[in-house]
Amino acid sequence: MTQGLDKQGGIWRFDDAVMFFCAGALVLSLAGLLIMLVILLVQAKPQWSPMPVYYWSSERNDVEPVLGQVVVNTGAAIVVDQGVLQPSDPRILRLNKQGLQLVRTKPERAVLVQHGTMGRMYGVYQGVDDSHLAMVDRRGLEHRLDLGEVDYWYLPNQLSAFESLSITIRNVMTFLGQGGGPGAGAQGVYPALVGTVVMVLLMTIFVMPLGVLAAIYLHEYAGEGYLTRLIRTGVHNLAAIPSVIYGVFGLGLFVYGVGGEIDRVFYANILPTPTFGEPGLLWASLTLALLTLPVVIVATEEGLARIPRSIIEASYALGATRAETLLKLVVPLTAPAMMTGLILAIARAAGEVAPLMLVGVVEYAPSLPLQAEFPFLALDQKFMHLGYQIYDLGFQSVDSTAAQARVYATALVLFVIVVALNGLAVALRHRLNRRYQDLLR
Amino acid sequence: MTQPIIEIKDLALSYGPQQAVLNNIQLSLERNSVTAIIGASGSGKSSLLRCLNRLVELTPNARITGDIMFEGESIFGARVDPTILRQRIGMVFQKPNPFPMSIFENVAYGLRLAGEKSPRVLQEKVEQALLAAALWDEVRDRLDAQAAVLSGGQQQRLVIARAIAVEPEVLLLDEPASSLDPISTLRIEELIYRLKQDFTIVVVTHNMQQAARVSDWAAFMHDGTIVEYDNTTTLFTNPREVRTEDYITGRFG
Ligand SMILES: Nc1ncnc2c1ncn2[C@@H]1O[C@H](COP(=O)(O)OP(=O)(O)OP(=O)(O)O)[C@@H](O)[C@H]1O
Ligand SMILES: [Mg+2]
Repeated sequence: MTQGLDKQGGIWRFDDAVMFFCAGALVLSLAGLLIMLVILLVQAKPQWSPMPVYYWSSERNDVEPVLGQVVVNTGAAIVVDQGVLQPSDPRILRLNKQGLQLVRTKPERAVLVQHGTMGRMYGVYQGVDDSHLAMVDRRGLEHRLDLGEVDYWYLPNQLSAFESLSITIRNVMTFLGQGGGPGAGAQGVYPALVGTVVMVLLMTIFVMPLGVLAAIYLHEYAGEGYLTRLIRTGVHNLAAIPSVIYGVFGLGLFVYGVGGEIDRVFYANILPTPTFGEPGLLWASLTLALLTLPVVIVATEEGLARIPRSIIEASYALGATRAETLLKLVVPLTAPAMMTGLILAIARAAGEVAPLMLVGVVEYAPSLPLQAEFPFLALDQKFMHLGYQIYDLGFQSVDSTAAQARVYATALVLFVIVVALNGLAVALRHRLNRRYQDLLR
Repeated sequence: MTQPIIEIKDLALSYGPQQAVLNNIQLSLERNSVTAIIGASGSGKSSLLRCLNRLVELTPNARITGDIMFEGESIFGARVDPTILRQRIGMVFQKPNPFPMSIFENVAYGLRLAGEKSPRVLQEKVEQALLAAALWDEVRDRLDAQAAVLSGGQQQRLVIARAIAVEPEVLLLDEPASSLDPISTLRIEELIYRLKQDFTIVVVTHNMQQAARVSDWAAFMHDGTIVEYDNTTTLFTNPREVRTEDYITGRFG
């Protein structure tokens, strides 16, 4: 009997199995990313979109009723934010459900007030005249608030979809566009956002020329000796060093070493008050530049190595010098690889927190690291950073449960920032690729 | 015979500790002549060409002994600038290696290196080079297209145009017609014939008829040595060596 041309081995052939394994891995990775994004969005939602205000009361007489918004519901207990309307009460209250027979209602006329000086308040709306807003607290006491001091107020339990959306948008804008004061009542992440972006851009300015030139030297001039191999291996391994070590190094070298020396030479008149001799924007950027230098060097070197020998020889054969070949042919062709290095560097730098805590990031900086005169950056100033905000809010603040939504919201902003910065570099690389890469297939 | 433009004396080359790739090469190239180099694959033809413009020095560990005189001066002299040497001795590689740039920029590359800035002159010289390489008609409307979109044979003519654009005195052609159709090949041969008036040409080829057609002198290489070097008619009709005869008649190993 002849075999013919039929498929062998039934439905499940090895080829298909390989394909399915690969596809499975891809689906798993994508699902992970998607889940992360969804969790970020869901958890950050209370920070921005108006949540209902509830009223909990118990049949037992010794338990006072509670009015406020849910922060976390763990099943056994509810953590409630009841605002600052009664300054004697704690803002965050933990309601144990056990044995309380709690009854939850959703008062139609519950009101949320954002007070300019005191903060968030919840109550039951009584009425408003030209100058005052009247509401009662959970115990039934009436409060009158001067409308001039109220930022905004609304009735969260009877919002239309449009109102709800516009409040969300306003909250997001506030969150992105306003600075927070020190402490948990902070409004937005604007200073941290600016700090993060400025720091990453400054780092880019330091790391790209340095990394690219170093890679060109390593690849083009250093030859293939024992020493070169040693240095190359060293550089590759630098990328694996934990970032906090770079932080300690930056503190010792830049802050105390270089910064201290600058102070002694240029700012001797105001010593012992340090100018550059303490953590600041410049030192943080330099530390991160050092941290991401190996990434840029490795990516650039790989790009250089991918350029075919034959076209380099063609350039020499036309009478080009080494420098001309480099500048006219090799460097333009390596530009996309350099962009890849930049992308990796940004991705790494924007997410670092540990080293930054040592060399310039603080929980609260009174002003942005920008100034009106040249060089437009307050290089010696401490600054705020999204990553550090997350760490600080999530683990260091006194009422970290209340800050949970804020933590996730900040994380979401950091996520978007990193994606945007990367997107910029990817777009740049794409343009360069189209221009130069045709023959490098 | 007047003073040869290039004179190779006792040249030997090795790419490292292994056996030498070229051995005891003696060769004199007459001005305004075409010299064909024939020989089996791996016999060292390309290596010999790469010695003539010192391109072989880019290969790490390459070791050269002996000497090459160009216009009576040693090309390995301490005061010789290899980039100037390479401007005067142009080369077309065995495999077409256009730059990943536009067709125009490919041909203009050498001109720009030589300091030519005027767009008008560049345009003119690029057109002339492309015309000479028999490529102009095919690319005149798409000079800004990437060189990569050209076919293999078109790329081969492009790199020839690139080499002759800078008007070198000596042109080293390493199998310039290996992937061309008979008509383009003929054009290249005509080009060689025309260029001979002004230039000195060395052409490596595996095509015996072509060697016989275009060259005045022919050298047969075997295992890194020049077995026989004579004027083309003599070498093809009346070779002194048995190995040469075997090779050109196709009876070779
Ligand atoms: N860069 C190099 N390093 C080491 N050996 C080399 C190198 N280039 C060439 N060789 C060796 O030198 C010898 C001659 O090579 P060459 O390219 O000169 O031959 P060829 O005559 O041009 O052959 P073909 O007709 O196939 O092009 C070969 O044995 C080759 O392996
Ligand atoms: Mg060859």
